[in-house]
This record gives sequence, C-alpha cells and structure tokens, in this order.
Amino acid sequence: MSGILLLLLIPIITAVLCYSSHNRKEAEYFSLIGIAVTAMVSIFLISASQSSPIFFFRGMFFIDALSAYILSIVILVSVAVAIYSVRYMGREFQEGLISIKELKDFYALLHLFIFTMLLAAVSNNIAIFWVAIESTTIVSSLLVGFYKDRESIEAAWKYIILCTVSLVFGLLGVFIIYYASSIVLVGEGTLNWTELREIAHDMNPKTVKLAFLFILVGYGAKAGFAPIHNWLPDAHSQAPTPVSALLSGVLIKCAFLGIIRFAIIGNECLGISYCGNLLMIFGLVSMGVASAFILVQNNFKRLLAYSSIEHIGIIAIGMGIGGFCGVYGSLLHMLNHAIVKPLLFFTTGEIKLKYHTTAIDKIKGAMVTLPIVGTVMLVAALAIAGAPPFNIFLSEFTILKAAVDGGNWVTFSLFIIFATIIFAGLLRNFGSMVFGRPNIDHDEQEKKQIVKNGNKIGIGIIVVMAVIMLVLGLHIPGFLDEMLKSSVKIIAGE
Amino acid sequence: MEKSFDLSLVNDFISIGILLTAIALNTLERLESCVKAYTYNSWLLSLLILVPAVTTGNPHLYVAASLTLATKGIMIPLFLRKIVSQQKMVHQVQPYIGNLLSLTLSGVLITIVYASLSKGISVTGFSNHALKVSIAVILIGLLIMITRRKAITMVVGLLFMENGLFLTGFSLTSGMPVIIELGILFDVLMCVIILGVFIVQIRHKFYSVDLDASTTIHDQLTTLKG
Repeated sequence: MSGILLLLLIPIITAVLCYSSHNRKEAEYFSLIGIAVTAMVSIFLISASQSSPIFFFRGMFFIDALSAYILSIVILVSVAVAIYSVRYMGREFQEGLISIKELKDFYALLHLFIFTMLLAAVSNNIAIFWVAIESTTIVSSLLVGFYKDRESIEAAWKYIILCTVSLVFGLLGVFIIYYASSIVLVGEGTLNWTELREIAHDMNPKTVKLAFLFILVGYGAKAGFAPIHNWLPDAHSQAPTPVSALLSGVLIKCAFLGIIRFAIIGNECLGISYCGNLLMIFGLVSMGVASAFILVQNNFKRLLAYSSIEHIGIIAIGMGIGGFCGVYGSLLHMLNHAIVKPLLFFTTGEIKLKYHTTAIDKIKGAMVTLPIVGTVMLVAALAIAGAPPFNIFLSEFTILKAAVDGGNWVTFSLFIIFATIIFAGLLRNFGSMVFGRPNIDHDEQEKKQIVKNGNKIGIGIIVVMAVIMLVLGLHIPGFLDEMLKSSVKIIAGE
Repeated sequence: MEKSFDLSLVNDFISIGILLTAIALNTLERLESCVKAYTYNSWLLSLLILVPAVTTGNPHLYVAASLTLATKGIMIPLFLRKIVSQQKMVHQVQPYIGNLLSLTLSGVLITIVYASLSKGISVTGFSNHALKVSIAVILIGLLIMITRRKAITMVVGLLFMENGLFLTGFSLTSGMPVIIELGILFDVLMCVIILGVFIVQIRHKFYSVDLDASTTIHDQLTTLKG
C-alpha cells in the first residue's frame, strides 16, 4: 500500500519547502499545509488499517491497530504543535530572539522530527524502528540546542550522548533477537516483528531475556525511565516550547512503543511475569524519583519534564500489570498524557512570553494577566495531577483497578503514595503561579500586546485541546474505544 | 578443510588487533592519535568482514565490508581530523584517571568478558573469539567515554562502542540485511556530524569565555570541553 510511502514523503517535502522558503509567511503556510496533508493521509490510513493490518515494502513497514493508535497520537500532537508554533515562534521572531534563517530552520527541523516519529510508528522491521528512534535523537537534539546558548548546547550534548550510548545497547538487543530467530529459522533470521511474534514460542528463553534487558535499557533511556532519565529535564527545559510539547507528548511514547513490541515477544516466549515485573519496577522507580524532584522544583518547564517521567512510569506500571484493564488503562493514559502535557507546555509558553522567565516564584497572578490561558492552565494542572473528573484520572483509575484485581498491593500502595506527593507538589507550584497579585505592569504590557499580536489561532488551539481534555474525562467515544480494544487484543491476546 | 582453518586463524588475529587498538586508546595522550587508533580499528573491522566474504563468495558481505570501510574507515576519521586540527588549544586528552589505572580497568573488563563468555554461547557467525573481543571493545569504549574530559574523546569512545557493536552483529549472525546496515551506518554518520557541529559550538561558547577565567565557568569547563 503506497499510502505509507506518501505519509513518510510528505513531511520530508514539507521540510525542504520550509527550508527553501523566502519569508516568514511562506514558511508558516508551507508548514501548516504540510501538516494538514499529513494528517489527512494518516486519517485515511488509520481508518483503512482498522479491519486488517496494512503492509508495505516486503513487510518492513506496516500499520496494525497498535501502530494506528500511536500514529493517531503522533498526528494529533503534531497538528497542535504546528499550529501553536506559528504563534510562539512568530512572537520570538517579532521580538528579535531568532532570525529569519533560524525560523526557517526551525520549521524544517520540526517536520523532519515529525517524519522520524511517523517512521518509528509504522515500522514493522525492528532494525528500521531502531534507525527511526536514533534519527529522532539526532534531529531533536538540533532542536534542543536551537537557541545556541550555553545551557541549550549543554542540554543537547547531554541528550545526544546519553541517548546514543543507551541506543547502542538497544541495537545489541536487536542483534540478539535476530540471532535467536536465525537459530529457530535455521540460516537467515528475520527482523520483521510480525514474523518474530509467530516464532517467539520456539526461541531460546535465556536469549530472549537477555535481549529484552538490553532493549529495556536502550529504549527506556529514550522513554525517560528513572535511573536513566538525566537527559530529559535538561532537554525539555531548553528546547523551544512547541518542541518540548512534542518531546514530552509523543517522543517518549514512540520509544515506549518499541518496549511494548518487545514485551509482546517476551510474553509469548517467557510468560507474562518476566517483562511485566521489570516494567513495573521501572515504573515505580520513575514515579518515586519524579515525586521527589517535583516537590523541590522552581523552574516550570523542568517541573513539567519531571511530571513526564512520572507519567511514563504510570504507563509502564499499567503495561506491567497487564490483563485487559492494565493494558487498556496504560494505552488510554498515553493519549490522555499526550493531550494534557502539550496543553500545559502551550499555556506555560504563553506565560513565558508574557513574564520572560521560567522561575515559578517570579510569576504571580497569571489568572489576571492572561485570563483564558491562566484558567486553562489551572484546569490542565488539576488534570495532570490526577484530579477527577478529568481524563488522566480516568486512566489512572483504570490502572489502579487492574492492580487491585491482580492483587498487586505493593504496586497499588506505592502508586497512591507517589501520586499524592506529586498532586501536592504540582498544585502548590501551579497555584502560586495562577493566583495572587500580578507582579508585572499589566496595562503597559496590554498595550504592547495589541500592537504586536494579531494572531489568535494559537489561543484557539489551546481552547480546542482543553475541550478535548474535558470531553475525554467524561466520555470515551466509540471509535476510540474500538481502537483501544483492538490494540489491547494485540498486546494482551484475546 | 585446511584452508578454512587457516582463515579462521586469520580472523582471530584480526580480532585481537581490534582489541589492541581499543586497549591502546587508554594510553594515548594526543587527540590525533586517538582518531588514528579509531581509523585502524575501522580498517581492521572491514578487513574482518572481507575475509569471510572472500571464502564464502557472499556478495552481501563484500557490500558490508566496503560500506564499513567507506564510512567508518574514511569519512568519519577525515571529519574528526578536521575538527581536531581546527582546535587551537591543547591537543591533550586530559583524562580524569591515570593511564595506569585506566589500563588496569580495561584489563579487568576483558577478564570479566572472557570469564563470563567462556561457555554457553554457540555462534552462527565467524568465531566465538570475535564475540568476546566485540563485547570487550564495547565496554572499553564506555570506559573511555566516562573517564575522559574532552568532547572529542567522548565521540571517539562512542565510535569504538559502535564498532564493537558491529563486530557483535557479525559474530553472532553472518551480518544483517544490506538495507538495514545502510540505515544504521547512515545514522552513525549523521550522529557524528551533528556531534561535530555541537563540538564546534561548545568551543565557541565555552572557550571564548575561558580567557576571562571566571570560576563558575571553570566549573562547567571541567565537564564540557571542546
């Protein structure tokens, strides 16, 4: 099916067009049209893949229900980010923080970054998947070091070195799986995930255990699991805000997709307890580390980055508990986090544009200076902390239900303790930013604002995402439920 | 029978050569010599792939050997040499630990690898020996990365790890499909180029201010140097 080829080519063409555009308007239009076309093609592919998986190029690429689900998350966040970038980067351009060349570079890199994530989502071949994840590191490190000051270059350097080293171990895991398959198939092994899954029963369990450990370390660093998360707060806080939203909203989930795929092979070969327990341990450690750092944080972008570590931990815990509820909750949590976290990055981005700082204690009264954005930010902060009736509460509750059903009382109680600490830390910090007496001269700022800013589309996307967040907290639409159920079937079996 | 025995011996010699270049990295004082060690390592790696290509006549192995030589043996070393020669400051490696300790640690790592892989792994590719060497090279690369101060030695350590990884791939199986190898090599190449760009930027941002010698900046310099 050549639709996949089209899906992968459009972002590259868009990137080239953005790079070669002549002025700001042109680059922005190319970027918006490019992402719109990508979204249309992908909606077509996602709906086509619901009945049966689509294969392309000797089975190296495919879209099954699970890839379609991840693909839709990638597309959803990418569209929001592309629209918001017009506002955010436009403002930075107007204020003279970046030059026109840098603006064009930004759009080109943004679309290349989206391309690498799409490639990761649709690859069936585990080595192509590795190449895609490594390319996300390479492209996004340029975006992390985009401002070219000391902090951002240091963050980018740390990011690319740490992730590349851990991905070396990930590739070792891929080689080991290939070796295991070549013993089963006698001679040429296979790298296609669908074929690996069929022969998983016959593989040597010890070899598969070794491979899964390497994969978990390799992709786990990229996903932001706790002992190997050090790059994440730096990269998320130094990148331009739209890029932070992409890194946090979808990149870590793309890496986690690799872990899920290998866990499926591992489950077939070793039974569900081995991979599940490892994921649960990593998840709990991530939550614990994040809860400690969230309490003492004074930079809101770093705060959000640590919150991402917490949520990838929750996703891993749900996947580790397994069963229908655990996997369903975990997948739903991926989507919910991918909506709420970019929303928080966008709203705090507005605050950064207004207050010109990222220090929490220097920001007061955001509700007064920015009424819409401040309100949305408070609601989103409540949602990310896990308060009902928002969508994150729903998926966390589903995961906790799975923990109780499975009798995982240690996991259950640790989860509750960490979630409570994080709830307190998040609300204290966001509360102090939203409420209180504004500490900047509001009227003077307002005047400047009117002159400078005619672009309301960025605020529009914030409101739209807030509405999606509220709706998903109360009701899961039928098509989403169908997608989730068929993805759960792939992961947990019938 | 006689011929294949000889060639496996040749392969053992080459893999020992690969290990020796990695060990030599522990004691090299100048950045240029580090790059040279990497160059020899890559040439030996592609030679190691070439030997079974000649004996089996498998066209895929010829392609793999020439691709390895072109990227790892020629393009990346030339690029690294250019970056090193642009540097106007000291060309010393400046490790955190002494050469002797570094060598000893490498020796310990090699012993651990040989002891733990002495039995239990049957290999479809070249030889059991190459597998042990490859894991040892990965670990030595990692050791170099964490004990050296300069950005460029970190890159060299990373590249040694990647060479070790390729050797693992070839010793476990008889190589990956060509298109996959192409993808991985392209990624490695891009990664090195981007790292090179960052090294140049680090030098701009950190060295130019080094002359003013403020203490906080000094702190940062110990962790990050061009």
